[in-house]
This record gives sequence, structure tokens and C-alpha cells, in this order.
Amino acid sequence: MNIRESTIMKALPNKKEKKEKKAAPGLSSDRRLSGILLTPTLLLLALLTLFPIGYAVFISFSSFDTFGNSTGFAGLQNYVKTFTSSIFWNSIFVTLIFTALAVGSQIFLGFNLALIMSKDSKAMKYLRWLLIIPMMLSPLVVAIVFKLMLHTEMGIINYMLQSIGIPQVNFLGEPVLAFVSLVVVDIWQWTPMVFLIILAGMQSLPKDPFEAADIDGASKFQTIRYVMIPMLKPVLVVALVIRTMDALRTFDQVFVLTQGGPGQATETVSFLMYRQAMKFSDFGFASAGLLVVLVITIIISSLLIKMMNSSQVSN
Amino acid sequence: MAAISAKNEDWKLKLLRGSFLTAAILFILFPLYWMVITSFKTEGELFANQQTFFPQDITLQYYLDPIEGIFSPNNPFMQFFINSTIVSFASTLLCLTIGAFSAYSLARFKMKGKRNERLSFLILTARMLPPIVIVVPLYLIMQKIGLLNTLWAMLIVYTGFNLPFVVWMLKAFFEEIPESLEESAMIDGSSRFMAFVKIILPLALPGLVATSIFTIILTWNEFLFAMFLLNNTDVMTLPAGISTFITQFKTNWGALTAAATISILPVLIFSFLVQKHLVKGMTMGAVKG
Repeated sequence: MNIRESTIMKALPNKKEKKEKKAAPGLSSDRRLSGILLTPTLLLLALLTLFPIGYAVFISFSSFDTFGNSTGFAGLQNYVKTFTSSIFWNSIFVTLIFTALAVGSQIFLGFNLALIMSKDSKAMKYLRWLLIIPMMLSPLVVAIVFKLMLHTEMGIINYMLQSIGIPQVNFLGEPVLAFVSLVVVDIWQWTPMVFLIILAGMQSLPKDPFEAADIDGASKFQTIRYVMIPMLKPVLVVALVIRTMDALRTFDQVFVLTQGGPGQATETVSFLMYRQAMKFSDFGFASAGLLVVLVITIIISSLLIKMMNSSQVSN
Repeated sequence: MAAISAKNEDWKLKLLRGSFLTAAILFILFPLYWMVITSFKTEGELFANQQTFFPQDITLQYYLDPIEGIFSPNNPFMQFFINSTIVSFASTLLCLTIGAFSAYSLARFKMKGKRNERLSFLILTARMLPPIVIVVPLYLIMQKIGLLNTLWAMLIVYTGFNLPFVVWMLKAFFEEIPESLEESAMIDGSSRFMAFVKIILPLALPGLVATSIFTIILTWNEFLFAMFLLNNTDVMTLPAGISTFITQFKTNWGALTAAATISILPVLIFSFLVQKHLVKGMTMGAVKG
């Protein structure tokens, strides 16, 4: 027992050693230059994020007529409307479940596929160019292609199902099926990316801990569970963070495939806000809702950033 | 015994890999194949009871027809394409110019109290913000200042929203270049800024190119901002423009798939150029590929 632990421990990269480059004492001219170099970025970001958010706060306290013209101060009316609105909470729920299902499947599939492929660098050479295609496409185009394939009468998927005796399915017309279709489209587009990220992580792991585990007689599963996954954690977290950020804002696919329907079954937050603002000119409701979304996003992001920071010690 | 079981396992693993490869290729390529062939099918064949996996009579009407073809002067498609090209290249150029300086500052100047790390994360939070939160107020602001339905609005918005990505990517590329190079230039009397421009930027050229290509692709594909801020077909970018093909009461699948096919061509070409930097690009430099 003791021997085994020690061999693994020795082989693991010493975490603290790599980190912490000594902070050089900043020269005052360096500090000035650094300020000058950073200012345009920070200004532009403030202009495009803080300013609109501030404006949204202002709008959220205003009332609007049906043409979208401001008609004065509304107090907390918009917030009350948002908090008591079942479609708002439904959209939050839809977005969270969608994100959990889609990102969870992508990490699970990506990890297992990377395990299978990690030793086969020859096949990967040819596979790589193929795998990069889905993630580079516009989600809008991807959704269009899937809409065509999922079409009830002329879709190829229904055609194939019928040829093996399964009756026509209205994929985008049934609440659960429509939701699952959205998740599948997301999996199609983003699993290759998660796979490539995890694979790159696996291939850059040091070999010694695996050899040590092998000598100590660890089973394959034990090696993966206790040696590989802990070392791979920073990479897994990066994949998780990036995919979660993007899944939470899903809009394009909903716009093309379901328009939030049937009913409200696939109405993500982004789509609901679009509908309120652009179709009903209800900017007050939309702004109040967006600020709630902002708060939720800040909470999720800070959790993710905390995860990233704590797992990146070895980077 | 052990040798036999190892061999056995090897065989299983090979089969697993082989079937995974085949499945992946089919799963990934089929939708694209279907999109392309649909754009070449005649309307009769498209709506026939018998679906065809290869078009019976190849037609170019959705591309070249003088009335409904996407390349005809009556069709707004070419305008969308031109708009997308202008916005993607202009905003990428602007974004890289601004972003490179900031990235260098964050990569090199180690200030006390981890100020740089905090700033980097502050910039990252801008990337985490869902665009929908910004786009509704931005729509009203753009309306007020008269930039709604102009490519200027898109230029500003895309430059700002790709900045976090560009800064993080370039920061990762700059950090790979040893600092001793600038130090020796500075000993020879060059200023820090000149050392950056004359020594670091040329060395980071592959990184700059890769980052530009990623930024162009991101902009090329962006839909939400374009749809909110552009309502006029003269200024629409490709995703916004193509989406107008669907919302008409009857979807013209031939034209839609033809437009989709042409719109992804530049992206495909570009993405092969950045293959090597793909993982880095996808993780904003957090994972080295």
C-alpha cells in the first residue's frame, strides 16, 4: 500500500514547483505603458457591456406602449410582472435542463471517445479535419439542415424510419421530441469540440504515473478513475466552462427549429426575451427579465471561474 | 496467458475504434452531404415519396437561375455575402489591433497583487455575458443614435464582443515567446514598445493569423446581434439574411440549402488553415493543442 502510493506520488508532476513565476517589481514606466495598452480594450468593453446594462436598468423601470415608445416611470411593475410570470420561469427551467443535458452528454461522449482514440494517432491525423467541420459551422446553418432532415413529410429521418416500419414522427411538433431534437443537434455540433479538447489534454499527460499504476497492478478502470481523471481535471473544467457558457445562451437553433414551441416546451431564455422585445415591443418586461438572467449568469459564471481557478494550479 | 488476453483485447479495441470511426464519419458527414445534394435536386424530386440519396437530375436552378438562383442579381444573397465579408474582415482587423496591445500587457507586465490576473478574468466575464442581455438595450441605443440598420453598428458590436477572445488567445501566444528576447533588445537601447512591435509581433505572426481566422469565423457565423440590429436586406449579413429565407410562409428548401452551402465554403477553407491551433482556439488558449 505504502509502496504503491509513493510510486504514484513520485511520478505525479509536482504541482507547486511549476507555478508561481516571481512577480517582477513593476517599473513605473512599465506600469504606464501597461495602462496605455489596456485602456482601449477596457473602454470598449465598458461601452458595450456596462453602458447597455445600465441602460437596461433604466428601461426596466419604464413602461412602454404597444409600439415600444416609453410612456414614463413604471416603478417595480416590470419586475413584479417578470417574477410572477410563469413563462419566464419556464424559460429559465428549459435553458438549465437543456444546458445540463447537452453539456453533460458532450463531456461524457467526448471523454469516452477520447479514451478510445487516444492511442491511435494515425487515425486521428485523418479524422481531425473531419471533426472540426461541425464546430466551425454557424449554428443557424446546422439548424437549417436538421430542420430539413427532421421534416415530418419530406425529412430523410422519417423516410428511413418508415422504411423499417416505424410510422411518421412529428419531431418538432411534440414537446418532448422537440426538446430532445434540440439537444441532439447541440450534441452533433459540439461533441467533436469537447472530444478534441479532452484528447489534447490526454495526450499531454505525463506517462510515468500510468506506468507506475501499471506496475502496481491497478486495473484499467482504477487507472482512469484515480490517475487520469484527477490529472485531466483542468482540461475537463475548461471544456465544461466553455460549453456551459455557450449552451446557456442558445438561440439560433431554437429560432430555426422550433420558435420556442410547441407551446413553450423549447423556449430558452434568449428566445423568450427576443420574443418579448421584438414581437411584442415589451422592452420593460424584457429588460427586467434580462437583469434577472444577468444575475443568474453572474452566479453560474463565478462558480465556473472558481472551479477553473482551483483546478488550474498545475497549469 | 497474458499475451493471449492482451492480443484479444487489442482486437476488441481495434474493432471498437473501427466502428467508432465509421459511425463518426457517417454521423458528421451525412447532414452536410444531405444539405449539398438537396441544393441540386429538382423540386419534383425533393417532394417525391421516394427520397433519393443521389439526385436523379442535377439542377443548378437554385444557384444560377436568373429569377430564383442565389447568384442572380435579383437575389439579395450576394449582398449578404459582401456585407458579411466587409464586417468580418474590418472588425477582425480592428479587434486584433486593439487586442494585441492589451494581450501583450497582460502577458508580460507582472504587477503586484495579481492585478493582471484579475484584469484577465474581468475581460473573460465579458465573454461569459449572454449576448441577449446586451442586445435589447443595445438595440434601443442604436436606434437612438441612428446606427440601427448600418454596418457601422455591427462593426462596433463585433469588435467589442470578440475582444475577450482575441485578448485571451494572443496572451497565450505571447506567453510562449521567451521574455529574454525583448530584454536583450531593450539592453541594446530599444524601448519596450518598440521591442514588442519589432520582435514579438513578427514572432507571434502564426498566432496572430490563427486568431484572426478564428475571429473571422466567429463573426461570419454570428446571428443574434445581426438579427436584432439589421432589418434591411441591403445591410444584412449572411446568417441574418439566410434566416429571412425561412420565415417566409413557404420555405424554399432548394434556395435555402444552396445559400447555406455557399455560406459555409469560406468557413471550411479557413478552418483547415487553423487546424493546428484548433484546440487552443476553442479554449481561448487555456488548453494547448
